[in-house]
Amino acid sequence: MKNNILEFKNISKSYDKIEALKNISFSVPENSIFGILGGNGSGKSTFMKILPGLIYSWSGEILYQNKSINKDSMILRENFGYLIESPTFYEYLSAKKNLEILARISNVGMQRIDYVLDLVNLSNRSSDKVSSYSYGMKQRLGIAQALLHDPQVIVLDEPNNGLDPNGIADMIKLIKSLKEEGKTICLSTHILKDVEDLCTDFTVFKDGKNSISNSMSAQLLSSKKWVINVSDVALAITKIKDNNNFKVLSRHNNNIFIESESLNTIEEINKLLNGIDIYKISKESNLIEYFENDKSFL
Amino acid sequence: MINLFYNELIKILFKRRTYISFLLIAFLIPVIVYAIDYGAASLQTKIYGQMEDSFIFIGSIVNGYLASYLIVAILITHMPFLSTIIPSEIISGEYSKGTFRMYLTRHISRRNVFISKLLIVYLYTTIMMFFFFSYSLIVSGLMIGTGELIVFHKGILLLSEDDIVWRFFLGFAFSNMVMITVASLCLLFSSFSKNSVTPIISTISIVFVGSAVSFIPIDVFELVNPYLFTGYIDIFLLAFHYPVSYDIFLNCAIVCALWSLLFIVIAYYNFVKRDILE
Repeated sequence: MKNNILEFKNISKSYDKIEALKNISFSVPENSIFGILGGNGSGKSTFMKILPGLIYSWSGEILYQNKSINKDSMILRENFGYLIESPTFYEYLSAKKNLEILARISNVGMQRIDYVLDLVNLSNRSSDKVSSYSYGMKQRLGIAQALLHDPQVIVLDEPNNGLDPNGIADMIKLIKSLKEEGKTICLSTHILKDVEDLCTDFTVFKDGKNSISNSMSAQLLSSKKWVINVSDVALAITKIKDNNNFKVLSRHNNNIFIESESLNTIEEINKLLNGIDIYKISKESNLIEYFENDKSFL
Repeated sequence: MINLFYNELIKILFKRRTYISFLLIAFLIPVIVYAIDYGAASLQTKIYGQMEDSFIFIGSIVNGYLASYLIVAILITHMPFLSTIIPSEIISGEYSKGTFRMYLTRHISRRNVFISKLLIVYLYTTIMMFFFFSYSLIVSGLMIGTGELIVFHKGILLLSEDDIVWRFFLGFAFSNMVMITVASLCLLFSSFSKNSVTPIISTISIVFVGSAVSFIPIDVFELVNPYLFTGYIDIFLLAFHYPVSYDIFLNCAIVCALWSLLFIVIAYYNFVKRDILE
């Protein structure tokens, strides 16, 4: 069982008479990609701003590596990298100058700037003023600044916002590689697909409250259902039925819905259906089904 | 702290608005000096007035020192506006553009960020005021030469050439204190505001009302005026009195220090405790 790197206990925040967060409690396992899923106005962004101390007045308790953190603590800034809401920079300065400003106060060597710029594919535009950047480029620069001081935990608020399909694919790849490096990633999103594709755990925010326990989130993400799109459906079904690891559930046009017990479904299906054209193999998560009755999340 | 200060320096050096005051002063002063030189004869007649019936004047009293004295005396009342250019935006600008979301999530304390911004504001104000005084002296001296300075204090006061420059420095030092207080007030508004226009308008409105209190001869106003920093905006003129009233300069220093402290303390607490939601 994984240790929890972060634990939130009864986090509450009010703006005048509006309760933005009501007793939010959950824990983030170490080396996980933790999703905070919620619609607009659910309290995700407010919650994200509490961690780095952007919001000063709140109640509750935050534990980092099982140690209670007080509001003025630097630990949540020293070991964390943040991209909160839309990326904001000093637009009249170049990307490199912006990162130099941040490197100077993060005790980071200037060579790290080139590394993170390269990581987000902005090396060739690093001398250009940020005002000339597209939203997607600013978002990538936002990721670069969050990674600048090589933090242990990376907090990303809607990281795919404003990115084109290639950018989203790159972002997913980057987030997964960060996990492989041993980092913990905490990301907020209102898109179920992001959680399905990326997250190992998640919680759901709605009206300032959170639901879904860690065990439940793991269960929802560990779906065994897959969909395969092939050229020859009949032959594919025959071959799949012969394998004990797979069970055919249904078919629709060229799609075959299966349940898999295999640990490496994609590789095994590819081998099994050798000779048949496979157009798509994808996991069918339980999430859509779960939220079917609550369209506000979809 | 040095890194924070350096960052703030970079931020203002790369902004165009930083140079507005300097460009304005650099352009305006030579024009005024030229105008004074061009109208020297008419100016001299106005200054002499009926005195020409009693005294014989040899040579011209219009020189670089007189031009500088007139320029500073006229423009000093407008310097509060220029003093608000940087402090008005230094905090509110980062709120409105959202850059605090990036900057304040680093491993730094808000207290140190505030101090670095305050130091930059004071440095900018001092450099701007020094530039205003020294540039006016240099340009005037170069364009129309130096000489004795004639001012009005209990009649006509003639100051010898070697008794002038230190008075300009005295005037600069205390005028700068007043402008630093104005900048502190603007910084206070900047810490509450989400845009850079509101702090400028609020500060200038207060300076305007304060100046009105200084100029309107009503008993109540005369009673409170010594305790208002706005009552010392033209303290520069007192440096050219004989003898110099050092007690008024001391009052000015105390009043400015107390007001500045009040503004800074409120701005600090607001900055440190404020939720960054923008």
